Amino acid sequence: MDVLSNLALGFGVALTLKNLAYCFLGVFLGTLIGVLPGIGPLVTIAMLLPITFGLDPVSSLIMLAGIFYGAQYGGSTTAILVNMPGEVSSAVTAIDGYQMARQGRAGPALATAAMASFVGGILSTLLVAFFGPLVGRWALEFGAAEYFSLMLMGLVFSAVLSHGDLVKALAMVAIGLLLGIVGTDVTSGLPRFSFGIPELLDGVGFTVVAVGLFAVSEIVLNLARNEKVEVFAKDVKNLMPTWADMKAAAMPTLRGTALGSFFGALPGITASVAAFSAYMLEKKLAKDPSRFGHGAIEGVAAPEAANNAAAQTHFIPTLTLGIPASAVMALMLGALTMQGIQPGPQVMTSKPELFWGLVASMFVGNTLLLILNLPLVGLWARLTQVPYRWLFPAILVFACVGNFSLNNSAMDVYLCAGIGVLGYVFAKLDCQPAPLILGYVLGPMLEENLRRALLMSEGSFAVFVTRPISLAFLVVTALILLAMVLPGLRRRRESAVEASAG
Amino acid sequence: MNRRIARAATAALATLAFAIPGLAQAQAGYPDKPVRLIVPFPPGGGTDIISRIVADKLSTTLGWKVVVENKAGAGGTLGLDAAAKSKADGYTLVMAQTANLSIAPSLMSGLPYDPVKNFTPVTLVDAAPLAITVGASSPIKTLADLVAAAKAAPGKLLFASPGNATVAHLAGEYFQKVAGIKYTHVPYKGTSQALPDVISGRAAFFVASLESAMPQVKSGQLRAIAVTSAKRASQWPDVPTVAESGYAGFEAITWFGIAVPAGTPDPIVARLHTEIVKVLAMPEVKERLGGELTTGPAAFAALIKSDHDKWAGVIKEAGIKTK
Repeated sequence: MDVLSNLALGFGVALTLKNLAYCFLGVFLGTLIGVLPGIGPLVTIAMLLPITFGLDPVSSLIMLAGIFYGAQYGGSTTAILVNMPGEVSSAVTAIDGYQMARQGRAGPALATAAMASFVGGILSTLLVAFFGPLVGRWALEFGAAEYFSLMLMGLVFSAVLSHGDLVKALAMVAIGLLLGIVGTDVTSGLPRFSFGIPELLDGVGFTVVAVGLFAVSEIVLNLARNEKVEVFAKDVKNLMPTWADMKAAAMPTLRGTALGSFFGALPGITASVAAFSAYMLEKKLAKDPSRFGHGAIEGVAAPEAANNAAAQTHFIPTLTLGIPASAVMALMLGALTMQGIQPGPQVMTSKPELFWGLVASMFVGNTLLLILNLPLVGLWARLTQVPYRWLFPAILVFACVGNFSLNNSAMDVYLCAGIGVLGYVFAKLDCQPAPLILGYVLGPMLEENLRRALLMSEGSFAVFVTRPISLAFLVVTALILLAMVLPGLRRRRESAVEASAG
Repeated sequence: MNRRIARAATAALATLAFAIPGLAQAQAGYPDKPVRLIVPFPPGGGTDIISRIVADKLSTTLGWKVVVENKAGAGGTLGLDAAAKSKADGYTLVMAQTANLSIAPSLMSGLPYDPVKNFTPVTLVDAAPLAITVGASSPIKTLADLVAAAKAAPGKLLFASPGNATVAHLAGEYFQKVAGIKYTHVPYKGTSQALPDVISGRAAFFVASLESAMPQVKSGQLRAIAVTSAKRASQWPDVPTVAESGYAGFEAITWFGIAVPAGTPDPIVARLHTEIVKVLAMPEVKERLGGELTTGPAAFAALIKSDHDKWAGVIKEAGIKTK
């Protein structure tokens, strides 16, 4: 088969000693820098970009890609250990991963994250290899109306699933929306909530929100509550997941991979949406959803698989259409341009060794990451036993460095501190940060696509139901809503399940 | 602390070197420390790539240490502002472009710098035309087709741009005015977000920098129907200009140029100009950066002024809201 011979060509390129070395160097550097809290893949690649200028294009792309998914790996390590996500998608991992670490289960959490990422990475790379061009063409079908309906489905889905105080959750979504729309409005070009501060014209960055909300506020909370407890976890229990853990994580990993691969292929959607959807889906499917937020292993496996799967399928629009699906992908295309290669769809045919070499290197790199990370789990897990008085100042320093280095802007550091205070207040009021992040991520995309769809349809709402893909999403949304307003239906179904099980 | 020591040291040196004409000496030895080139956009983008090519050549051929510093945000305004507030000693350069020096003043009321008063232009580095493109399956084959389609259904044709008040958006508005037609502007967050809608034909046509539309045109997903420069682009000799398609005098380009904070000593500005022009003349640089430019500081200053007047008029007439 064609793909197989192409893959053979790719492995021929990726498995040369030189490219193997660059792939290893990439994932190693990525993991290393990604592990520094607050420094995500974007900053890592931006910093290391100049190193690759001296390399040949294939090697440099292999290394950059390695840095990218390596840093994503490292980012979840800090999300789990110190509640400091390096990027949006690991913010989801932080929710349950950090709770696992607090319970002394950092080892299983890290190992689960590593294995889920591996599975997600390998399966979605297969998708890239076999269906890349096909999926790329399909992604073109997504316009403003389709994106809007898809986001609406996501938002409704997660609203239905929220447990606990609904009013508080809605309030947090609203605050997230407000934070998300700070900056220049795409449709009108006018600034909103920027208060005349030029730094706010581009909005409040995700790292700023996540690090402030999760890491900074967590540190303040810890300082405020137990003076006696000196470390996160007194004793680190078994390092590797138990058989029961693995079984609990298996299906979430596969479902996460499927969702991640889907969202990653759409150029208009950030990987965070994939991780969020995977998390929400698991919460919905769980027998006891109340465990989520308190260290549920499914809450680590699903978003990790999803975010790594999305990281690989992000390459589909980038390489088959020449349309970068994220800032990191744009950076990679920039790196190719620096090499004198005109990026775009023609790269696949004109430089097959580049495309297939990269695809093959993703298999190699994901495997290397697993080999690299599993033995390190013990070392990282022990980090949870470092006394607070050492750990906290270090985390704060990294948080500042990470936030500053994104734009070389001190404003981001102040904002992060301010959001940290907000996060502390939220925690005291018993408000969960997850709905806020959801509003922050989905809100602006929802608004932008709604307005664009209406602008393009001259104000006619019919566009959402006349376009088939959009209609399909709306129908599913309606079904979800129906299931919610008819709780009797759900109860009956549950008792039916119990009856058949019994 | 460091700065205080440095200042004390400078003062001491100045006293010691009293007999020598200190300033002239400093210029003769220029540069004796790293020169930073502020890029007001993130790494990996078009401006960054251009900047790195120039910085790299200055470093390798002259042995200067030119450090690219990305200071992105607010459409480049933050980087320009940082440069304007830097010491005018020749050790801070900035890669500015049309948007920062010629458009921002008409668009932002609270612009923290004055493009004319706060900067001394050194040289133009690159100028790029915009391309008007349509999806490959579009019935529109020429600029005349586009105008006819717009006339047949006033206000219905969808014009995609990479963002509000970008040069591409303004060029589209400008053409609307020149051709006496009306279409609807649909802004996106950058080229990559707009491409799927243009390729699939959901938007009728797209105006964006030639460079950013190039991959899709090459692969046959988009068709270029015109370029907005005065002369045809060397990369696409077959694509007509808007001017030669019946709108004589039409020109809309994005240019990039190096400026220094106002007050930088003239000999240093002259030296920078000479060296950068030498770099631009190298064949391998010429291949990457666009073509024949009038590069002198005076020509650059005149371009900033004339583009400012042109875009101010378009912004006013199109009723683009100012910040």
